[in-house]
Amino acid sequence: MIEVINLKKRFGEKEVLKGVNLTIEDGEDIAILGKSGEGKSVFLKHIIGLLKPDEGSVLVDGIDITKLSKRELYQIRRSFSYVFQGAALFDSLTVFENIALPLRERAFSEREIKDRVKEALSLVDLDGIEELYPAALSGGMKKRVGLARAIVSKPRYLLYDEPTTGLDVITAWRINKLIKKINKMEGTTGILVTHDIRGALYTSDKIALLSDGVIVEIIESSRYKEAKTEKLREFLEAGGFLD
Amino acid sequence: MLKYLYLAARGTGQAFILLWDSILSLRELRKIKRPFVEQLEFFGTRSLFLVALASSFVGMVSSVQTAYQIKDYAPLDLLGMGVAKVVMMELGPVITALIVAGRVGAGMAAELGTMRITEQIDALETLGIDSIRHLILPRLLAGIIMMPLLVVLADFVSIMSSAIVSALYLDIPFSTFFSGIRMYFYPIDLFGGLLKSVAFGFLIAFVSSSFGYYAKEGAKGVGIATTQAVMYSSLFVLMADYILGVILYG
Repeated sequence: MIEVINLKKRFGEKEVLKGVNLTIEDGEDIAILGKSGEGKSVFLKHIIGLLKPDEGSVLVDGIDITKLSKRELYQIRRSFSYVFQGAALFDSLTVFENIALPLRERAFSEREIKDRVKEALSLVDLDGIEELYPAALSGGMKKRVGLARAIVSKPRYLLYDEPTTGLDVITAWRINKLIKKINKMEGTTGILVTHDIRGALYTSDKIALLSDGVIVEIIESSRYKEAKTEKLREFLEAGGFLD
Repeated sequence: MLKYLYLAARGTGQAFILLWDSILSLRELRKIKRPFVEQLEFFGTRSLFLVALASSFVGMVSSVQTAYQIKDYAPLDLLGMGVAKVVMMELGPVITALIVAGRVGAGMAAELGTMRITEQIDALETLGIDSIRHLILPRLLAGIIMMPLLVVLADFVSIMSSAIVSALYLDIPFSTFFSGIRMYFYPIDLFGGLLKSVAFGFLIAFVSSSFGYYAKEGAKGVGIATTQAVMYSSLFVLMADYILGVILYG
């Protein structure tokens, strides 16, 4: 379980997070919605400890990760995977090596690495591209390789940072379908940060709106029509889900 | 003014944290085999031709200028000794370091800076991989190991090219040139230069990696990091050269 308690973060004069509170149960899939520049990615980076908050806590299975040493944090991160907006593939490594990297770090056997990489690539419908370098891939393929790298270590928590941004509608929808497929895998908790309302409703059990530095509303995706706050209703209207 | 002092203090602090974390990550040395081999190749093997070419000209010009300076008050038989000493103690390590600072330092800063702005460094961290161990430590070790080897090459090529020019244009036979070197050779001349090169290799790798690792603000930031890496690496090499020169030969 992940509990975010009164999370605050400021960059210079700009206070991005003003006291975010959120609890994500094991096995739950939640989408954090918000406009560009509202601090969605900043929030996600706090959950995996890439950023340290000015105030507040992030509890992962009861452990406050904001107080951990670097070594302890690396151990916690083994339960996580992070899908980056721009895929963040390593340019100097082939697709196979990119996906194999987390497994090599954990001293898996070469045989097991080969099998797992093949399985992950097959799951994202990219069989046979193991020897290509990221520069030879399209934007959509890069994102799918990023997804394969994220799932290869079979993490408990999967964090997606705007995975469909910059893609055409067909490719974006394909990515959303993959995310839904991955989220339904046993024991996986998914946290998706996006401004794609359609993708959020399709992939996640719940949606939450981050606005003005706080979570203003959380609602089950299937009951989105019952949204109470004006801000979330406006978001749903803009996506064509409310009249 | 205060802003620049603050930025300089922050940059220095970040660099020393990077160094300390690199030292701590030495305990996981076995995990960096592949990036270490890649950096040995990048730092050393790919610098061979440039270092050899530059050193040949250093040797040639050293012959001509030393001959010009000593011809009125010393026998030209001592030319080999003069060139060898200046090459081993000063020109070999310093010229090689400045060439490597330009080639390797810029490359390191640009590569790490690009990895920073495209979130590849964050990606390593999210995968539970210590980015300093994976990216910085191999570069520091490669710098410390490859620089003395490059300097040995530079010394050899410089002295040989000097001998050839001396034979062709100054009528000093090889035997005379090399007997002068043998007669006045002190091991400290060579080993002092090699010791300097270890320090230069470390400085170039450390300064360049540091600028690249902490690059920010997109492509412009990578450009700034690359320029600063070359500029400060070269400057620190010259400063270290003076300090080590005083300690070793002063």
